[in-house]
Amino acid sequence: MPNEWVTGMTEPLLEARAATVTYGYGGAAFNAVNDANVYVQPGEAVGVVGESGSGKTTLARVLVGLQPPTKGNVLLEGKPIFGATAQRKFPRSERWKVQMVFQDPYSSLNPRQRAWEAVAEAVSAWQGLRGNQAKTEALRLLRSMGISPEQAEQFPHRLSGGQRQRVSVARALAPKPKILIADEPTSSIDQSAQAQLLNLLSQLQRESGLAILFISHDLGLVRYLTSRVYVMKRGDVVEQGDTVRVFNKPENPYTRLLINSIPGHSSLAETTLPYES
Amino acid sequence: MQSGPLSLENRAGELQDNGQPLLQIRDLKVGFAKSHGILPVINTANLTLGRREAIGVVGESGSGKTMLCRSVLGTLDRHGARVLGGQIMFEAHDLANAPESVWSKVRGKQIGYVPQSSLAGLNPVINVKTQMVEAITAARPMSVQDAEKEAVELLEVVRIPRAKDVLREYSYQLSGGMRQRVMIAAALAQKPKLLVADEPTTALDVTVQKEILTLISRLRRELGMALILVSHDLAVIEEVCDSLMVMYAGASFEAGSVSVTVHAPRHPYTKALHDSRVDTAERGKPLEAIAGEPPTIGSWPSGCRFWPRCPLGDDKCRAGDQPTLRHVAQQLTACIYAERMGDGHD
Amino acid sequence: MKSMTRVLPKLNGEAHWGVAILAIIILLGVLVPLLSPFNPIRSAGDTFITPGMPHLFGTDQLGRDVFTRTFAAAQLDITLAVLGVAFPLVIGTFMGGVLGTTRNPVVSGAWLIIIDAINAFPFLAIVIGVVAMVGSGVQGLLIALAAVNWARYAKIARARALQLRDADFIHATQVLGYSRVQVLTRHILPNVYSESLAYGLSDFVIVIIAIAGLSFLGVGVRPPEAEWGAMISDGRPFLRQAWWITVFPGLTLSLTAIGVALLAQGLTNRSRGED
Repeated sequence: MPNEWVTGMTEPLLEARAATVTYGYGGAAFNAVNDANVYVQPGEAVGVVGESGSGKTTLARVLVGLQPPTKGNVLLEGKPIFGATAQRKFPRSERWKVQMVFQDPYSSLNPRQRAWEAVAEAVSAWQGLRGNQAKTEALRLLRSMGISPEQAEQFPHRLSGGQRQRVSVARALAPKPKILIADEPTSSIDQSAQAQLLNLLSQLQRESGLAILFISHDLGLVRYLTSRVYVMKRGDVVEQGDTVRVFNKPENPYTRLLINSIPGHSSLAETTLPYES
Repeated sequence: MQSGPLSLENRAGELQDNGQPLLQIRDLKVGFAKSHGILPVINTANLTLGRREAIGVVGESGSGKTMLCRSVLGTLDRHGARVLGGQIMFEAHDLANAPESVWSKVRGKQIGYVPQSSLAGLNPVINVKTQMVEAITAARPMSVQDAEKEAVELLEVVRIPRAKDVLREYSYQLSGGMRQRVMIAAALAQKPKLLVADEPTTALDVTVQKEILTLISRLRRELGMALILVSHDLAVIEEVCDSLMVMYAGASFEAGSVSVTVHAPRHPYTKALHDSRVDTAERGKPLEAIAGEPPTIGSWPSGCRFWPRCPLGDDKCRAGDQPTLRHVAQQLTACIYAERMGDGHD
Repeated sequence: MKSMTRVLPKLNGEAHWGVAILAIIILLGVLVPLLSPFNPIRSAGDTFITPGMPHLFGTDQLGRDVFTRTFAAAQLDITLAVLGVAFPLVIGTFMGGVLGTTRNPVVSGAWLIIIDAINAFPFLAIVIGVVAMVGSGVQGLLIALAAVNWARYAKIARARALQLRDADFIHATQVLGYSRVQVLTRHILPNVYSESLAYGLSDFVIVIIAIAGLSFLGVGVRPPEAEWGAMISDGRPFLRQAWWITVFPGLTLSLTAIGVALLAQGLTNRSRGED
């Protein structure tokens, strides 16, 4: 696949090169991700869209080091650090550079930790701060995510889904990462909470130079937030390119189907719809 | 919803089709009975639905939209809640706190229900055939063979290919979209006058969502059903519904036709809901997020429940009770400053 | 809805009764040296005195005051039961947490076989076997209980830890590069122990009965120490002429068991409401 989207001389910050993830053995084996080449430049906002079974979450897990690819490698700042021909474990010393926000706000925080404790733990792990200093820094990060010191004293079950996701972002920011991978971060929170979170994330990306990889089934969200997008279907990247171009002139028929399925994008005509098998 | 003499002639069998709304919910109050008293979840909701009309109910979590569905389906008591006041007029009956003997004639027969898209709706240990036959014979005793024949027809109505094969399958063998089609087919078994769909496409993929919404729209037209579609997604409601009711913190905030209510809202919450949408937002511009959090159930603020987050909120807003709906322009609104809002923001 | 039940995690009626029963028994156990002029292991006068004043529960075949002995035994039995639950709970929960998070299939497989083997034997049979090896008496009893019962806690804790391993907050600890010890002590175990504790309370009843039972069989607490099981055993030959020697310790034992069961039931209901 020609890399026509590499602009200038910058080296990708994070890259999956020819990454394949195979589940199962023998006849039952299938590729959750199939020979994917996905990269993010420093400070860039990139989207990965796809439906369930597209492999987008597996790709996120590979890039963040939770799941080793069966074939291919993950490259961080140009160096292979994790994968089939690199290490099988993502090196701990590089962990801080790649952080993640998970989909489910209800399971992504330890129910026995107060909001500030979750963030302070990450602060002490990576900024070398202890005790009150770690707490002060945690409260500062939480405040930048719109979480007040009173809310920071709460256990997760006392916080709304949107607040929990913002605590998760604060925790992910504690190591001062270079890229944030967000896997459907707004899919289970209310619309007003979604707008708050998206504003915070896009502000981080524009003002702090944090690269963001958005994994989402929501094309409207990806269109709004990213400048470059990958479209995945059943493990394959079927289309990639400039977000505006992909939305205005989709080349792949599946991309076209996705875009036409956005409510309000085309009339509810039943004739063109293929049935799932 | 006025029926001319011609339409009355055409459907002479439906004697009650006299221009009255099919469903009218008036000042509905619903609450949970707790050991320390009553915890209100709806106070108050109003909704008017004509025959063959589709209304969308939009709201965030805690708005009471799911409890509103349960009020109309008579399943409140299964969730520990009950109607505390108001009316649910369906046809000529008041269903508010109606006894089970009344509900058993209405629920599943005149009012069909499509639950949230999940495994929950279908029993995993019984196959599709058994469940469909159950739904069909619930009100009309007939032989199993006839019921099976009708089940196949119903599955074909919801455009399930290989209907006879699907009948032998179990819910876990079906994809999310297929399961939802089966749920819709089961809801249609008694030819209901009203279909209640609570977030029917929330967990589905966008292409499958499109299929299900298309199906619901077509069936509604072809079978002349009214529809209550509950969703958190304005875009979904815009696509399917004629009218819209906006709920917030257990109260109706605004109601009217979809096009007017969405594009010329007369309640700041409706406007904020529209402005915070990402699907219609301009790239690179910050979203108009609503500040703060919706109030949790049981701790609603005094006065208009939206005032702490409202750009128009002032001392007058926080006094008294939640304002009731009143006519402003072409819709109903609960905002006391509705007149200050212009004729549209687009 | 969820937040409402969480704001009010009060104990319900059952648990209140449980707490009240246990408080009275423990209080009498602590205060009995002050309340009673008699010594629990020395004769206080005549044998087989019927209940009345000053011997509220009568005297036994050696002339000891049954009231004093019953509540002196309460101290010993409840302390033993607490320790008999606590040791296996701590050991088993820790082992289960480790086994639930290890990625080494050989290690976890081997331990699982041991755990299942221990759990497969009847509880009392294996405790008696261990007591036979390590010797009877209070120490032997506690060692036996720990050696046998940890396997049950390990099983429970491992199952819970396996669930947690797939929770996103555990994935987050990996992405954040926390050490294994940190993940285990700060994220896995705090979320595992509440289930162990719930089981521990229901286990408490079994342990208290086991201690009494073993002493009754003569492999637990040794005479002349006051212990419910031993007292019941001692009084059994005189059941016809002096029922009070067995009935009062038996009744107190049953009440303790009921108190703990009520408390456990109440707490389980509460945690179910919370989750």
